[in-house]
Amino acid sequence: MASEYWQRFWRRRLGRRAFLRATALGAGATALVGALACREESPQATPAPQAEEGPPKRGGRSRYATFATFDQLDLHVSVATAASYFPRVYNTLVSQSQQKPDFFYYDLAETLEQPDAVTYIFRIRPGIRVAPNGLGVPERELDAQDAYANWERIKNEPRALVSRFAKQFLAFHAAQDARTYVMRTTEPYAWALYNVGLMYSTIAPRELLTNPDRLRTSGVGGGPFSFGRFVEGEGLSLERNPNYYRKGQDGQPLPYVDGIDVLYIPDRAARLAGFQSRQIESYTVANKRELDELMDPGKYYLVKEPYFNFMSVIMNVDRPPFNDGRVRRAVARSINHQQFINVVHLGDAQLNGIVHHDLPDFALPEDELKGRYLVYNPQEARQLLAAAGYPGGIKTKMVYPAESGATGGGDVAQYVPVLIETLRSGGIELELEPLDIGRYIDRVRRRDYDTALSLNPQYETPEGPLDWHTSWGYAGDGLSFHIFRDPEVDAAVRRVKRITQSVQELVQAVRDAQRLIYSKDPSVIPLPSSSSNNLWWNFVRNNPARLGLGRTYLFLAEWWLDL
Amino acid sequence: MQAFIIRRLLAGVVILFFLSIAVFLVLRVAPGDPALLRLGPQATAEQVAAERERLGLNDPLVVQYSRWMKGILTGDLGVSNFSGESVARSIRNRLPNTLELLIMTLVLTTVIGITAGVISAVWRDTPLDYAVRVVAVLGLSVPALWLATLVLLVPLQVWGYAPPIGRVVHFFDDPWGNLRQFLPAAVVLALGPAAAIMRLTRSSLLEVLRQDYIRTARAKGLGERLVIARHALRNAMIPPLTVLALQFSALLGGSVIIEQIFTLPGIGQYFFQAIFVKDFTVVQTLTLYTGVVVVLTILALDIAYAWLDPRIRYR
Repeated sequence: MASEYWQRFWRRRLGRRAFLRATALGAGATALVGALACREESPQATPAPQAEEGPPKRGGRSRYATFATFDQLDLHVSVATAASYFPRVYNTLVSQSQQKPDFFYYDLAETLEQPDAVTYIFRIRPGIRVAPNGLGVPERELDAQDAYANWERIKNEPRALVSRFAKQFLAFHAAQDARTYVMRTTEPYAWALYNVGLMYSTIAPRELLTNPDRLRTSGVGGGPFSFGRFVEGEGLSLERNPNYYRKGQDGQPLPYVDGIDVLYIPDRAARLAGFQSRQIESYTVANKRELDELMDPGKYYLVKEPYFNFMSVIMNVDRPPFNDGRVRRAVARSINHQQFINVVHLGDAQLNGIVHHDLPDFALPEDELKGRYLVYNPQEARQLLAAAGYPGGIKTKMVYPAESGATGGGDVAQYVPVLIETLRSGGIELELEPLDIGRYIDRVRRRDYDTALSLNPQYETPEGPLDWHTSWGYAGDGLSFHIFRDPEVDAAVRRVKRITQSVQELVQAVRDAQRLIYSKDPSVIPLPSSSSNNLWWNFVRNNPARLGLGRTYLFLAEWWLDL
Repeated sequence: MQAFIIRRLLAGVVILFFLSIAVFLVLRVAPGDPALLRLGPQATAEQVAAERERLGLNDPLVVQYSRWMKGILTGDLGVSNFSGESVARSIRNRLPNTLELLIMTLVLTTVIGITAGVISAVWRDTPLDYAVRVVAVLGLSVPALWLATLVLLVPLQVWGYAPPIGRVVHFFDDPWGNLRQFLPAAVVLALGPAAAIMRLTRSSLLEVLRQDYIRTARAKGLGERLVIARHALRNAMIPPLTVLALQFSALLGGSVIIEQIFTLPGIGQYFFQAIFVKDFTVVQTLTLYTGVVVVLTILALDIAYAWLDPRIRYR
């Protein structure tokens, strides 16, 4: 039955080749006209999503699996899975992709002006109406007061994920009138817009914010969907918002699908069974071997999405021998990065510099990493150790989270034996100390370790990876579990953060800062990671995940189901 | 008997009191800050402090314990530190799934275990007995985790079939769908205990069948079926009943692995998630709940012993 379906599908596709060409040309022209039209109003254009195999069909429900449970639905406070669905329900002012920094998705704001390096003037789009709801929130248009109320809450709610940005950088914000919302930062800040466009800083109708308890389990906004059923431990459903303002390439209102069901499926085998039996639409493969086994172009297509975290070797610079740059360089020279790619990732991975490869504009070119900074040279490592006073090599303890599972496409347990072997080649003996995740975080936060194999926090921008090498650390309060104190590095990273007017200038400055950090023998050495290999059923069409926009794609609702 | 039950209930209260103190202290002594675990290592010190304050972790231990106990005694089980959801509501949502799985598993365990045990004992040392014993050994030795994965993946690879995954199909909405969802999990859960019950039933029944009163029953001319069913089996049931009762209390506390694999949101899955994120309120309350289940099950078991064997008397 299923094979017949796909045979019909392929036959139909071939028969429509001419039609598809015309559609693609038409969509391209529309995108170009749209981009040019937007250009007059706003400094950056929002490209149209890819046209693909139209015409779109309406109806059906998308079904996704999540392996992590939901904590709550409060859009500013939730730290778990639910956050990925806030862009489906609420609006962002504007979201800038970090994978394609030229891509801006204008949502609640239809234009943005930056008259100077610290001022952002958002012109609020008319016609974004709140979805029908049973929460007592009127189906009115969202306005600048909503943006103000949400950012006021973010600023004053200590648990808000973006409160650090709001407290540190938000000097002033106001709704000047119903259609104008202004933000001013304390100083030029390169990732101000990134923070504005995060899924944790989406905008809810202000009436909702007066009752945080209600926000915990429900919510409504002007996004493409609204929350339906939320059952703790089971999942979440979203229903189409009939008031949603955007239209698809066929001029029909979005979204095309009737709703989304998010199913909590913690077990990998169950997720695979759910995927292969078409109960869910996508599946993240464990590794390249599984990808090769499963991949069937007649059924699925592959979307590579960025992993925002990866493993690093971290040395505690507060303790000898790692307070000596020569020892840190010896560790760097002892690490055979290619071996991690071959053994842990079965060849399907890329080198990571200080900024990881899934931020391609900001990462250093692979040739430069291979030729200069990630050179495997165990002889040099031994010489460096000898020069530092350790002719017989060193022995060091390494803590790591034993149960943190897969990260960056590999498993912690797979990294460890490779690490032991490669470091030994440079004269460094590892004594392992696996810890449960609670103890691990506790130890590293107190900087009670010599070396750590670290599951890094998520980095969606280059800011996080650069902050690791500063005296203020990743969390910005000087209490992070790794602190590297170098005034030149601090100054370079501060310089980077102040670039707000030119993406190209920012890219260059981020790369230069990385080169400077490498010249200081950094104490954080990122290991290779793969991208997230996600298989999707072919019946999911015009999938925005394929645009390579990072998380910004979550705001796009153009996909449809060819069922 | 009445005095015995009251004494046992009072002893149960004392046991539960010490259990509550033990779990309360163990969770707090174990390293790892729940606030930090919830927020992640990138959280600022200020965020961690605010979260600790919200969770009441800055209060003295005595205050925290009293607050929890007061809630338990007044029927307020508190809210999850992780989700903010009422623990009572979560248990209420999940208990029907655990109960359904429990009932199916116990029925399968009892029917398969006792039937196979009787067959094996009655046809002792025949090929049928050997076959049943081999299956029982397999049932005892195959890990449930592995078997569950096979039950899920083999039909998928062979027939492209998978049970409903990720959303609970309620019995009254779709009885067939519900059966497809719960039955594979129940079969996996039942296989090991059914094998144990089969072996216990067999050995116990063989022993009873050698007793004088069985010989007398046969000498009176009673049919073999009546001898087995009325005279032998009832007296052979005490050891299997103990296993069944222990399985009952274990299943009522949820089956972590099976609920995870078959994505049945029950008590076991809830417990597992709570331990992982160090959700104090949930772990404490579920431990106490499990304690209550065990105490009451053992009491019920003692009463059942007396019913099955009139020679057993409690004072």
